[in-house]
Amino acid sequence: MLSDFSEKIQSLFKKFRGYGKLTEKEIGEICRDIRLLFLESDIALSATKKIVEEIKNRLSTLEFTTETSPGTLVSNIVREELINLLGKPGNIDFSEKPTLVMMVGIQGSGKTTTSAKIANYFATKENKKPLLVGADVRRPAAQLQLEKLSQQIKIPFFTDKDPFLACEGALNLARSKGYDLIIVDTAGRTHVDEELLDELKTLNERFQPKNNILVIDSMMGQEATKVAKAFFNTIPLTGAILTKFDGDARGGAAFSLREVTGVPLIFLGVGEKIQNLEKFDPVRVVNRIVGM
Amino acid sequence: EALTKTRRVFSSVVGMESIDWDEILEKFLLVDVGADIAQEIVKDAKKRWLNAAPIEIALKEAIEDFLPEGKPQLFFTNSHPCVWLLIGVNGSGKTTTCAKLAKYSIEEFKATPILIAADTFRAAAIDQLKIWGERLNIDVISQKENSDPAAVVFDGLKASKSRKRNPIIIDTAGRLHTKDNLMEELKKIERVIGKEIEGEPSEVLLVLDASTGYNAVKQAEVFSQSLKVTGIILTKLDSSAKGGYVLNITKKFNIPVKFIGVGEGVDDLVPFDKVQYAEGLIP
Ligand SMILES: Nc1nc2c(ncn2[C@@H]2O[C@H](COP(=O)(O)OP(=O)(O)OP(=O)(O)O)[C@@H](O)[C@H]2O)c(=O)[nH]1
Ligand SMILES: Nc1nc2c(ncn2[C@@H]2O[C@H](COP(=O)(O)OP(=O)(O)OP(=O)(O)O)[C@@H](O)[C@H]2O)c(=O)[nH]1
Ligand SMILES: [K+]
Ligand SMILES: [Mg+2]
Ligand SMILES: [Mg+2]
Repeated sequence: MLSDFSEKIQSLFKKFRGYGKLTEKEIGEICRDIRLLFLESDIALSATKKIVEEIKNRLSTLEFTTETSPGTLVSNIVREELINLLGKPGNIDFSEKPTLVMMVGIQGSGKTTTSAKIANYFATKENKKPLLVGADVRRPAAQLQLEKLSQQIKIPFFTDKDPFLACEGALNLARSKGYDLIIVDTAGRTHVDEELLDELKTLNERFQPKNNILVIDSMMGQEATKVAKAFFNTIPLTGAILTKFDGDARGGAAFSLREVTGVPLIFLGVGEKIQNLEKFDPVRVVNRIVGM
Repeated sequence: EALTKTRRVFSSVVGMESIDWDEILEKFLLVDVGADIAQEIVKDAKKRWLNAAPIEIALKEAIEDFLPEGKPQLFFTNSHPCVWLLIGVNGSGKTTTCAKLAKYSIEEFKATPILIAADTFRAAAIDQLKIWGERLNIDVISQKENSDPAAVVFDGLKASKSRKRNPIIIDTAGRLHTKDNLMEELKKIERVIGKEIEGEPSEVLLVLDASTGYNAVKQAEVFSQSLKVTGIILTKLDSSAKGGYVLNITKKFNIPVKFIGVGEGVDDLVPFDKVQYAEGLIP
């Protein structure tokens, strides 16, 4: 495994004379290593090919001088291309009152936990009055999980026996009590489960949330491409959250998601606790891949 | 069935006159087989193909070579209470799999399983397991949220023994393998079990999500350095994910895959079949 990309690139350059242009063979060697690095970081194959091509073009026009270390130069190019792909962090759209946020994603990605995290974030940092809605009526104790989290952070919780009734009831409750941010936690569903994807589609048509947020696990592999596509084709996604970034996963899924949907990332989940939510920072994610 | 239903990644390749080995390599990368192993498989398959094996057979055999021989089984005996401990990162499917294994033990061994809720951390994790227990009509031993999990296991083992239950299936909290204190907590649980019932846990099952990428190899590495992992359960294979990384794991750490999870229901657990798994990668 490539443990430290920068080191690897530096060592590649030991063979290289250190100034002038790179030969085609040298570029090929460097690009092969970059490609491997990306794949082992779980960046989608299609995205990998695209960025490596970009990098290859930039390398072929590069003139090395004796002043800068070629390794650093190449690392910087890789870093720039990756940061470009991730783009600017997204936002929650608060233009509608109450603001509706629907959290979607595959099983176990972190939807319920992140719903509570977001409620807490906007309540404490932006003075919002959130309402948490348990619309997962399928997984055992899913509603109770969100209810318990809502109690921990003293934010109201609402649920009903199906997701439609839960959303409808929540909207009414929010209007009467002045809650301005409704966060709906939906059941986990695979991207091949058409019946459940249809349910999302109908929910979206009925309630037209300004914010449809895909929750994805940092550890996810090449499958991220298909997951992103399937959810994106079902409902208009407005943002994504990358969870479990507190481990050592490289988070290639973020790049896959951006490449296939263009949807911006909004937050990073960095722990199991409700406070463990941070604004998405592309540099941080890229550093995890390229090394500092 | 779920495996054949899932994906036929090689369909565009098989049956071609001349073989594009780079394309085959890419298909492996797309199902999260690490690049090193993917290259080895392609090299091996090429050799078999040059020796006149049809391409699909060559690939299938090359993949099967990376998986241990024999049908994987769970250790169970009636002579003493067996303990099956489930571990893994957050959200991989441990709690659901505990319920599935309980059901399996009833059907396969006519056993009288019991569940211990040692995830005292995640909100409503205990309730989740209790609901499964009710549905299966089996006991679930638990304490309050935030109790010490090792203490829950200790008390739970005593209670399970006095109720003469077997196997004793333990659900633990999800934890990332990078968190040393949480890995220590697991080791402590393993020690408590060994002290209470000699030779147990007979199964330490690492639950891995098929949609995970290369990080799964690290998970297997660190969990198996900390505990004596006896097998892998690969969940969520009812999606289109394949968990190709298990080839890397079995090769590097020699841990067999014992079961696959193919849905959220209690019956959605299937013993791992390496021929079928290899076939699932190739049409
Ligand atoms: N370490 C870590 N764990 C997290 C993070 N976010 C969520 N988790 C954990 O991941 C697991 C799954 O989280 P949930 O919120 O239950 O996921 P979900 O998507 O609602 O799951 P389903 O409803 O079953 O589909 C739990 O153990 C959470 O504590 C994170 O940022 N870091
Ligand atoms: N599609 C599918 N979903 C599964 C499978 N196994 C588990 N799940 C779902 O994945 C989600 C997480 O499962 P859990 O059993 O709660 O996972 P866990 O590892 O106990 O999670 P934590 O305790 O939070 O770490 C739930 O929504 C389950 O229903 C499977 O084989 N296929
Ligand atoms: K991968
Ligand atoms: Mg949930
Ligand atoms: Mg659990």
